[in-house]
Amino acid sequence: MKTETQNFIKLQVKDLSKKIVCEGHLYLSSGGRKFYLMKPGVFVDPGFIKKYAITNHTFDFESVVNENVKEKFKTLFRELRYLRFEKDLREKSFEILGYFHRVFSDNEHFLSFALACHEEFCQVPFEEQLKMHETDMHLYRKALYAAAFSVTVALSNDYYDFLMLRDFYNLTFMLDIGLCQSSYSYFVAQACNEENKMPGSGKEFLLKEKASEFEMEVFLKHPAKSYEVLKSLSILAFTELAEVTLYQHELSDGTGFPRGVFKGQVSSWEAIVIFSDSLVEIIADYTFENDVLKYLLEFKNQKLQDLPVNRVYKKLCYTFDHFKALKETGS
Amino acid sequence: MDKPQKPLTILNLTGELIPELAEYFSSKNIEVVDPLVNNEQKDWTHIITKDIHNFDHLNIVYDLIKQDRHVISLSKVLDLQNFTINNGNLILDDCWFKGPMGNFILDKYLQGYGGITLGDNYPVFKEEGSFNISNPFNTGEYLDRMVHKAFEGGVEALSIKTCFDHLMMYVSGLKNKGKAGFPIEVTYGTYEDIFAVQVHFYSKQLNVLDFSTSLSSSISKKAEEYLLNVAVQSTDFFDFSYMPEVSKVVMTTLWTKDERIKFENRGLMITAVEGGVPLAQYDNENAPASITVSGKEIPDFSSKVTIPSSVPDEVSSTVVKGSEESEDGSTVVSGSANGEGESSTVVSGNELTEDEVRLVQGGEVLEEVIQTVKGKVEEDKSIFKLGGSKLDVDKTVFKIASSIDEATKEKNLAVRSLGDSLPGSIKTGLFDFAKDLNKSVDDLNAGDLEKFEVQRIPDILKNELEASLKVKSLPGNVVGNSESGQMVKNLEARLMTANSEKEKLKTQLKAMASEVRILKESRNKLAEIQAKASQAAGDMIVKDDPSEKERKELQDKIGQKNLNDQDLQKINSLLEKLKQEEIKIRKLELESTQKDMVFNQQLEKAEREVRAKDLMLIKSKESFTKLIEKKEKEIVDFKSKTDQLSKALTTGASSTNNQIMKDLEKQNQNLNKQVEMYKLKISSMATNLQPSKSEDNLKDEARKLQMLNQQMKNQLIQSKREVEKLQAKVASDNSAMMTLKQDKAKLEAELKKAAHEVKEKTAAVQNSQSDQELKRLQAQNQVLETQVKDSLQKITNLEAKLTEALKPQRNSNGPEEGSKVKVTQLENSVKKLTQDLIDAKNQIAEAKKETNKLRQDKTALQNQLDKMKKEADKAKSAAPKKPGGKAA
Repeated sequence: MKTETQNFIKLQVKDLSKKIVCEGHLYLSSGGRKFYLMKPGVFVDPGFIKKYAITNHTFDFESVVNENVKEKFKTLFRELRYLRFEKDLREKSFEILGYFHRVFSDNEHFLSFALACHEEFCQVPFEEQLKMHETDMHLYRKALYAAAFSVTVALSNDYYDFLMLRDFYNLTFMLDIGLCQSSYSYFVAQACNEENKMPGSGKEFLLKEKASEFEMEVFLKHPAKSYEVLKSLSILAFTELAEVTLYQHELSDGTGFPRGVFKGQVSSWEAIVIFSDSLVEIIADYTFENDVLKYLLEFKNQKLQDLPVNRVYKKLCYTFDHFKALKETGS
Repeated sequence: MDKPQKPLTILNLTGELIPELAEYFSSKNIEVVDPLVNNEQKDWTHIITKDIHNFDHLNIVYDLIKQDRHVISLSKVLDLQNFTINNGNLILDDCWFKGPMGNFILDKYLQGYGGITLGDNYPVFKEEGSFNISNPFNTGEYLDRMVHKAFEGGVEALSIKTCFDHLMMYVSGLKNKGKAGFPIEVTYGTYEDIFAVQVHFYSKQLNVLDFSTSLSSSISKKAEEYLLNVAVQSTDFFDFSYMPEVSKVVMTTLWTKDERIKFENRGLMITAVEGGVPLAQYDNENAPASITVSGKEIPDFSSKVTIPSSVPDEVSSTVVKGSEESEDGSTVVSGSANGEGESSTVVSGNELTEDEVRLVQGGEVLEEVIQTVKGKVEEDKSIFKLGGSKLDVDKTVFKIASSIDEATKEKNLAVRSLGDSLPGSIKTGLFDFAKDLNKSVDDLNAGDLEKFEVQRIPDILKNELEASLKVKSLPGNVVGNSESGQMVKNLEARLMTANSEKEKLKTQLKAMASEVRILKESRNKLAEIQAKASQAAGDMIVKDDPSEKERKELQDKIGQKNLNDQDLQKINSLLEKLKQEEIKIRKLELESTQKDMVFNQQLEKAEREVRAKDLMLIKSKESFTKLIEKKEKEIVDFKSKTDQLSKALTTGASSTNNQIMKDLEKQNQNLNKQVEMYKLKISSMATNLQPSKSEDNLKDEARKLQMLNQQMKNQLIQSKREVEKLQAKVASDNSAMMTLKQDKAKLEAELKKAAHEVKEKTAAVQNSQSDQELKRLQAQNQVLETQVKDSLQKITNLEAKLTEALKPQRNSNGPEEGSKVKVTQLENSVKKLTQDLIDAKNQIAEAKKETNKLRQDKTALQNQLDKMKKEADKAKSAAPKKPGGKAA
């Protein structure tokens, strides 16, 4: 939720250049007017920095990230990393989930958690991140949020191993790296949006819009392309998990692509990534209660397994009474 | 999973099916053909067997692999490896059909459905829990929970734990082979009194060898050869499914409380294992390159498959790849009755009979043979007895069919040779029995004797007893109460004795039989020895030395004194032979003495060695005793120390010790953490060394570059300023030069004027003004020189700074494109600056040239002035002196 009192601070270009991800709303004051430049979670483009560095501009910046929360999550992840025994791992995962639940019940911005995850788990090379941003600004932002979400979903599904969590993060982050091709266009982006809103409708959209052969190829073959890129980078500890990228557009009735796999053939680890990638809309003020839970509520489980989703319901949403009521009434 | 499109036609080789199973097949309209009832040949999809443990021959006869025919066994199979390799994929005991699971399992098997979750695979089961395994050596608590759940349900926890542990080890083995991936997902649930555990994981390119090699029933040092077998044997039902489309293995295990199933595994199901088919396929040129399995055409990987060294001999012996060379224990049967020219290898320890050869050649179908002997192949023990080293069902079939049993022969012989040792009643009974059977006593076989023993002997003994009792009771005819009691006792005693007699008879029979056997064997042996002896004697006669005969003849002739020339020659030759023999004997004697000598020497050596060893032993014994003493002392010391410690602990130092212990533990933990930290740091360093640099590195580099950029910028600004200063100085120099030039011009003009005056006027005219001007010029010149020197010094300093600034720029080749651009920009600016410097240098050089010229002019002017002075002096001296007057 956007706060009523806006606390702007002056931010130098050199300070902005130190960040990879924009941690708040960025404005430019000129001639008594304010121009909105950047959303929270957007990749800080080196070109942008270069452009404003020449003029040595100072921006108005409103941060949405709570540094304390971010640091606490980072500490928790580091603690998890050095644990070896099941009991300790499980207890730590409960602690993380409990803290997550407590913090985001207080309307904290999701980006605090997303940045903590990004700093602790992200293994994606800078060039690939830049490529994603340059292909589509929203593609990067979506990847950032979805990857962070995958960590919570994995923890809810009893995946405690740090390396496994890191792999889930990077897998979810790079699910759409296959789209980063020269033939990527506005139509492909729209098809992706349609696909996210209504699984299975992306291809129809492209056909309706008379998309070119290349555009269609980019859309239909991007899971396989992502798989290739991920394989070539070798950033995963569990290399076999790379195959998960092939499942991102599969549907429970076997009508998805590229392989038309049925619900009964998809494992929970694949479902975690698919489920996390299904975040429909990313609005600027992305809070857990209003956005993630809303998303969970709207999630129609058209994509494969319902077990991971149920576990997330069970472990993350247990005190959101209004949410429970909404779920029960089905409204 | 798609099943083949062809309709299910099942060949039943078990005889009569149990009603539940028959009902199941009829309800599903599945055609099941019993070869005893219907001899029709069809394209069988499945073959049902029972009590068969070797499926090699079945595979040959029914071409199981090529024709994609699956074997279902309704009884336990001893060799699971053999079963799986011969396309066997369902073992389901009859007892499963007494409960609800039998039909369900058959449905699942025949319809080929399944899934990842327990709910998809066995929908009737209620999920009780699940967990994921990222590290197979980290399953303790998960497993404890699962086992606890099973224990609550009354299922044997030990088997579950055994099974699960072995499964994990098996998956780890696959992972090491690169054929399995983590995580492993485990779900468990219950249905009525059945407990189920399901494990699934990612597995690429799994083939039949990957599980059949792990199904060995013999326990060896190589655990990977029997891990899966232990897991299977620990369960009541084991379902191994492979999903080739998504490369996943699903293993479901069931445990029941059913007493019939409790003691041994009664079920195994293997479905859709890709790559398994070509491995056991016989080489055939006409065979297709790819095989259709589960409705999908899969490529033939047989050429790529190499049998690992760990494969047991039994497995490798069944994998036949077209070679006609007969290996050890195998027989090659070339050609066939159909004349197709194929060859097949039958693994067997013994030679093949004619029937077997016919069967292998294809002249006779196995079921025809089986029909004739059906019902006899039941006991495995008999099979082992008859089959020799290798279990072979079909061979036993032939043997039983021929009904020539060595044991029965012996029994017959025993009975026939009983003679007079049997009691008369039994003899007569035996004759009567033989008469009843319309046979003579000699024709009775083992079965007849058994019948006689069971049916007749008790009656004969009874009759005998009754007769004897009658004989004894007749004389008195009146029996009192006391006597009747005695009689009963006597009767009981007689009955007891009769029973004992019966037992004795039995033992006598057995002893007789064994005696007969021994006698027979000894006779045979005697006959053999005699034959050998006679043969040897004959040979001896044939092999008699001819020289001996000649010698005898000669001796006779010497006795008779009838020697002729030939005889003398013979005597000579004999003497020569004798000499040679003597020489040989001497040689042999010499050799023997030499050998004795060598032998004695070696003996001595050995004795010495033994003595040395004894000494060593004694020394080592001594050292050991010393060591033992030392250790005993140490032990005593330790004991005393421990006593002291225990005393100290009891007296109250325990708290301090505990504190120390805790501190030490903490220290240890901290150290361990530090070690881990360092390890991680090292790993991160290692990753940083890789080409894909981490983000932190990039950030640092970017920061460094930015710093460098800033420094460069500052330097540039400084250098710009200095250049500006220099330019200003150069301008001032230029202006000074201009003034100098102007001065020079003025001086020249003045000089001209002065010269003109010198020419016109006489001496003693002017010099005071010119001297002053000269001094001024010299001072100006000096100032100019110092300015030029300063500017040169500054230029050199600037050059040095620029070179220093350029050095790090050249060295830092950052990975970022943006920084590269900046660097190039900086380089360009530096180039410009250097250009400016060069210009400035050129200007300075020009200024230098001009100053040099000016100097030259100045010297020339000075020379002129000197000349002028001299001339003026001369003129002064040469001027006419006025008498008494003053000079002007």
